Amino acid sequence: MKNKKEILDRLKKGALLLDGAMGTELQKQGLPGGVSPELWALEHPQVLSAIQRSYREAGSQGVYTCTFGANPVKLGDYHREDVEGVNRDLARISRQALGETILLGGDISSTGRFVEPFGDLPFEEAAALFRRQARGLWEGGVDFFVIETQIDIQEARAALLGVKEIGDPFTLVTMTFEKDGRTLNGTTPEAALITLQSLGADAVGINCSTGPEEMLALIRRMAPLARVPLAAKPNAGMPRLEGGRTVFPMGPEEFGRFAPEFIRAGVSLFGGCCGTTPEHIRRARENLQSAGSWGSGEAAFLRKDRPKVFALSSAREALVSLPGSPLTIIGERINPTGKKALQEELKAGKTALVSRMAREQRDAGAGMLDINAGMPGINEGETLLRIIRVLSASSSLPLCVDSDNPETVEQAIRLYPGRALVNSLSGEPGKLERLLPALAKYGSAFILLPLTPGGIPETAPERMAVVREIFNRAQGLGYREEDILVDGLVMTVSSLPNAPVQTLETLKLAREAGFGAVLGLSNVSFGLPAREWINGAFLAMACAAGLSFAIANPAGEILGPVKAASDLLLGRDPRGGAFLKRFAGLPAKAPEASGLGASGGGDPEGGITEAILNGEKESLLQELGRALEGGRKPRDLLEGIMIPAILRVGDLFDQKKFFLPQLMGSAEAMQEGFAFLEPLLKSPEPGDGESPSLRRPPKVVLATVEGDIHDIGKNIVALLFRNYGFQVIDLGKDVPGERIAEAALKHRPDLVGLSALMTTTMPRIPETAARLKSLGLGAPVLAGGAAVTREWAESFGAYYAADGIQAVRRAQELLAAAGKTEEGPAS
Amino acid sequence: MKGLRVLTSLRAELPFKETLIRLGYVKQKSLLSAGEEEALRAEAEAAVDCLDLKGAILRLPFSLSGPATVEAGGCRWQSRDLARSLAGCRELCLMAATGGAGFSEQLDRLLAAGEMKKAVIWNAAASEAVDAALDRFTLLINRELVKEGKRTAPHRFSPGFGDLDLWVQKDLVRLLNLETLGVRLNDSCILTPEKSVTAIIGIRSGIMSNEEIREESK
Ligand code: B12
Repeated sequence: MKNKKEILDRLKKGALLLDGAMGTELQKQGLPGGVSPELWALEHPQVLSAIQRSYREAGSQGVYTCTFGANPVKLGDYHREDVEGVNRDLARISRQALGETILLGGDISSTGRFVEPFGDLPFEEAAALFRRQARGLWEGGVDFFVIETQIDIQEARAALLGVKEIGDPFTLVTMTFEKDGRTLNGTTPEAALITLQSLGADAVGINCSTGPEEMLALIRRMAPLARVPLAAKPNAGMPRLEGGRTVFPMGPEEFGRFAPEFIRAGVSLFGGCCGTTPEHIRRARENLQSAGSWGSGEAAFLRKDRPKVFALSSAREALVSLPGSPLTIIGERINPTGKKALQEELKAGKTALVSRMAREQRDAGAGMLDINAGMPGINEGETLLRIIRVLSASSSLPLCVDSDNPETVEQAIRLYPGRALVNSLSGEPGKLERLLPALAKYGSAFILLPLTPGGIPETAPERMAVVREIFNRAQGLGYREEDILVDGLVMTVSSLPNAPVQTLETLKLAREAGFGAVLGLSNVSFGLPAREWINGAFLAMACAAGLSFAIANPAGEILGPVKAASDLLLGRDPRGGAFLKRFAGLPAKAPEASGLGASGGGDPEGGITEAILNGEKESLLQELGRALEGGRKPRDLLEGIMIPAILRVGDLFDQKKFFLPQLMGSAEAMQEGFAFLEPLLKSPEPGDGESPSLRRPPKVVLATVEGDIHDIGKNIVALLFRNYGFQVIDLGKDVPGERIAEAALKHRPDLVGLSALMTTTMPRIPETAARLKSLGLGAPVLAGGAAVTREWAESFGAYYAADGIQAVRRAQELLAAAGKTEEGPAS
Repeated sequence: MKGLRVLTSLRAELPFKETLIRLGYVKQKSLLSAGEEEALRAEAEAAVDCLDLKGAILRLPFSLSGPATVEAGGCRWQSRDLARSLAGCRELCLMAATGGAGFSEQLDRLLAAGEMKKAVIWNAAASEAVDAALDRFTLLINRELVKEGKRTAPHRFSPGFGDLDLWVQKDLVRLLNLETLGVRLNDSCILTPEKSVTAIIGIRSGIMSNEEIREESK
């Protein structure tokens, strides 16, 4: 075992060449399908040794053990329990084959199970599984550890903690990304890097995934954020099928040419994954030698010219704040203090409201979310973990763990599948000693409150002295300035008139010293009227003083716009993109929508038609109101304008010019129009006797049959029936035949429409039809739903329609044929 | 069940193009302004945000005991179509995905409020997102199979398609332990929550020739 520093020093001197694929090489040497490669290698040590030696001869300076799947879960599939022994023995075989000069990496990969919150494997159980494998490898004499081919950031975290907890060896973690630049579970390369390097990975990178070209692009995204050496092990191109065989198309020569590019992009450890061979590695070495690209100057983690990056991550996304970045709002709403509904929800163990608050705050502009579960009557720690689990799925924003209890904080940051911000750490004796090492272990960023046991220092320089004192301790545990947000400490201006000035000064000094700066704004205006204005003005001033984060309710009417304007004015929103996006409003919709409306502009007829075509409820009501004021009769508006408009919508739908959302938009508007005119239509006008709208409207009973829960298709049909003047009795979904019959007896409909989604519920339609008939109800039955066909419906005397428009047309035909009405408006 | 893999808190992705097509959009025919498209996309994204996407995967060996009988996991399924889709395979994967019960509640709420435009967009977006989860599971399976020199068959198959009986889902629900994900099969063989799917896909060894596959699929 080399110590960590030796390896790091080695990497500071220049790049290190790793090996290529093991799995595909073993297959070439006769590894049969369906057996464990590790157990097979254990039985064929000469084969394993030969492959590894050929990598050494090709130029590999670091070689992995053949223990990719030697974790307790995978070995368990082959009924092997002695995980430690298998790993130890495989490591020893490799050591013997390779000698002492080669760095031997103990290889660990996925168990195949997903770790909570992304699966059912509890986090601690996962960490324990990996600890077992790591112990075996350690005993077998590996120099460092590799956690590779990870697609689940949480499994990577569990493995990393598992390995580190056996004694902090040098550990490289490489993740696998898909063509879309995310892991299968949705993590971006930036997020993975930030999460893993802050959790203590000594090197981070990418393996497997794609061919070199695609991987290079991802490495370039990681490089500016890398504090640790980067690693890359691409496949020999994207796998392709050739003659029934999976092949990796990229030959050694082409592969080798990429090696210097990876080094130039900042990579310190380069090798190959699936499909690569010792020949690929040889070519890589030759290219590196001739390009002179072994030097350390290019390694991303050694670059000196980088700005200070404050970086956080969720399971999916990174949040990166540079000196010129816009202000980030930390949404403060997920906090039960003073919120009845949230208190009830958390007490009941529910989280739907938490997800909704997360969404709302994001939509209002929050860049991350504060989570707090401090309230009496609940277990704070458990509740916070529940919130973390649910938000890991439903939100991509990084979280700020907000608790006074060090134990709660530690539990939360251990589980959190990203790099969290912790709110907060102060000079409070006892707490600092307890919390700081925990924060350091998980690499969390934190908010530093410059408080002393004696209270709040009054002036900015006094506050900075406290900051420095705490920072000195943190530095000893690996912290840098850019991992910390200094809280300027907001005090109430009404009681301490000079305090806001000191707060602003603290922000300025903190930024000058290289820290980030944060405020919880709202306290400043406590006890005063018009608080929002004070908060807004203070925010603008604080931004000018260098504020980078603000804890606030992003939905505040003044705060959001002030932030946008401040970013713009301070040059943190180049070319005003964000500002304009926020205030330009949505593009005008009506005129460009389809160009279908009649000319509009002052003419209510055109306006009504246009509103229906564009599905605009409000403007339809306005136009109708205008027309009525202008003396138009309600019935004329309905029959002369609205019905022709909705018929036109039907035609456009038939022609596929309109599709479902537009049809529904128009239908909804039409319904509103009806509701608006309906009371006015009730009073008869002279000469109205024969008007169709005074006749009893045709009646339809509609239902989704028993056992079937699919409602939407039937609801579409119902809406369109209503649009065309039918009276609809909608019985809902999962309706037993008896209830349909009862309703039919009661309402005596002209038509019964039955919906069934699948073949298993379709039989309920003929059953119901028969029941209706046996009761002497002669109304025709119209059947519909995804699996229903015309032939089938006709086979028992029912009728069929494929969609809502067809359903209305079919109904009108049937009614006309039965002489119940003149043909409806559709004819 | 040993080897069962449970996936929770999955990132739901919006397959926007597929959603448009599901809604009846026809390229070159349908009218869709940039503003409308933007609004539609925002609505579809909001829908997908409400999904609580989960799933399960189980890899099993199987045998064909006749041209239309597949036996796996102690179950026997009669289906020529399924047997054909498994041609050239020795193993299969069962999989399922669900969008969660919360989504159905939201959709019911929209329907009850008569917000039909929004409802149809939500319905289509969620349907496509759940279906797309199975694509991702297939990718995941292949990610691992590569290391074994194997891959999945070109198409997955679902109960309810072709001659594979819907009731086969009863076995899938049990083998995949779907009740722990909140998924049940009702007496009419409908999965609840509604936005749920089950599927079967074959696993091929990469060293089988096309001729062999053709031979087997006869
Ligand atoms: C999207 C979709 C899914 C989605 C969403 C499903 C859902 N229920 O929400 C997902 C991916 C989750 C899914 C899953 C499954 N699906 Co699916 N799915 C579809 C698909 C493509 C569209 C359904 C849909 O939502 N349409 C949109 C709505 C608005 O339309 P609609 O309900 O059909 O209503 C319209 C018409 O039918 C008609 N209509 C409806 N009711 C009425 C009533 C009357 C009186 C009239 C006149 C007209 C009418 O007008 C409506 C408006 O246009 C259909 C195939 C198809 N093209 O229809 C298959 C389909 C329904 N699914 C099918 C299958 C097999 C399944 C699964 C069993 C697959 C599996 N093994 O997992 C599961 C079962 C899910 C469950 N909950 O049990 C089969 C059913 C076959 C059968 N044997 O019954 C279908 C028909 C596909 C096929 N061709 O084989 N599915």
